Amino acid sequence: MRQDTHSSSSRGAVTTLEYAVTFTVALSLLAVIPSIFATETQSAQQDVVEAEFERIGSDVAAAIEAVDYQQQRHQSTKAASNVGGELHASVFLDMPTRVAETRYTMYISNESLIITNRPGQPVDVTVTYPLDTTNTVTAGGGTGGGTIRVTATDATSPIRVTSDRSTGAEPQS
Amino acid sequence: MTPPDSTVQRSRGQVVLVTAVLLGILFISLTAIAYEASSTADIRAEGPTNYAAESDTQIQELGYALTTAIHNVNTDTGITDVGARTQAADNAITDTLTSQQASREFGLTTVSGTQVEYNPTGETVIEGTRVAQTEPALLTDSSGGANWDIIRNGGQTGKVTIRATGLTSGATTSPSDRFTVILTGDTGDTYTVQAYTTGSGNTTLSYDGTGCTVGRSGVDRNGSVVTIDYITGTVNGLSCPEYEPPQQITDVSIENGDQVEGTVTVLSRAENAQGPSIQQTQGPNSSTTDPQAHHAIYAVPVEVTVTTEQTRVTRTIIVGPGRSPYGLNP
Repeated sequence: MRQDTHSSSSRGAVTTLEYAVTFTVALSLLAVIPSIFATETQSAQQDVVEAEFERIGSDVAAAIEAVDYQQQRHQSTKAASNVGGELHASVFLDMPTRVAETRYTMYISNESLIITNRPGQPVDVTVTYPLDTTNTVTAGGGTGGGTIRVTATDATSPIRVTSDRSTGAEPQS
Repeated sequence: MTPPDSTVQRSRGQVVLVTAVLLGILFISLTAIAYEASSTADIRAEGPTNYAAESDTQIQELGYALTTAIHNVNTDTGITDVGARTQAADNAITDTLTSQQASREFGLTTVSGTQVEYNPTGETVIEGTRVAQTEPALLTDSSGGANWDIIRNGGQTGKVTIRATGLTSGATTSPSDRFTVILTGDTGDTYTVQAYTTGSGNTTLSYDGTGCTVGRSGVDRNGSVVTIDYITGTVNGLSCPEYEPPQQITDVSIENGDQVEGTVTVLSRAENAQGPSIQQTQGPNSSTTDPQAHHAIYAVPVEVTVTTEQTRVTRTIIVGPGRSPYGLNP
């Protein structure tokens, strides 16, 4: 009988211990795993944002150089031939407003297109694309994602990169 | 037989631990999925597109169509009057622009155009002179000694094509006796181009101290017709990569030739050169096969607008038969 009592209390202690261990393990998982994943995910997010910025940058740079090319073709034709005709060149781009939960802005500095995250975003990424254009390029104070218009309205004016939701609209001078 | 209590407790402990581990794995998986889902970009940007090519393809197609229309007007032997040819060119350009616009009516791409003025004269059509010898004839006299100026003081030349038979073999003909065309630039620089056949029947263009053999063995045999474009440097459509004549060719002449027979087409910018004034040396043969010089359309400036899904371009192009016309300033 005493042996049964001893066995029963011992079993109770073991069970309690088991629950305590399980609880501790679960608590540890709750405490550690999210932070591990948060770190890993932030690293992955950094990579994704960088890759997306590069992709956006290459597309916008291609559009800028396409407009510059049309400007130069028109300019060289008119300079060599003294003929009439106007120039309008526009490329409309539909870009994501954010990539991997990160909002961004693009601007022109030192003949380069720079794409960087806006302040307060989860990651800090900047991608720079050198531009090889004859005329100057401007993006004002910075252009975000969404519908972007790259345009030139005459043969020698600066190429402008602006936000524009009126895709297909007549370029404004 | 009932297992002892200690065994039961151990088993239960193992079950609890396994359950805890499984729950842990499940928790980890759910956490991972949640993070990945929240970090996926809403829209992925497309890769870079060649936007210039997108518009230029359309402009090029329009240019080809307009060039064909101008060529057809130039080769229309029924037109003998300058005014009539100019009017025919205007009509042909308008019709071509209309048909090109209509052909894209239901697509995402639109094309339109309008003629613009050449500012010094206010004209919408740039006139020129075309020298054409349509019937095959000797391109120099039988002695091979009479040189022939096909065009002199032509301002600039957009097309020089000779379709010849009887090119001599380079192996048996001295360089001074080979069929020779001399292209003279506006600064007086000359570009000497010789054409002769090789032992395998190909054609060699020798130019500017170097040369290029083109053709497929057994196809361009000696005696067969060889079409040489002296502006682009092609023989039967096959090109010589380093061929580069002067940008503005004012004079075109043939030297020697040794009984090379063929036809000639030259389109030059020289205005008001209808008749023999453009051809200072008469052709070497009878009047029936002599080349005829006549008024032609050299080039037309057009303001073209192309809209594609992502681009919109309006710019001026100059179209004309042959090489894309270089500057049209006087």
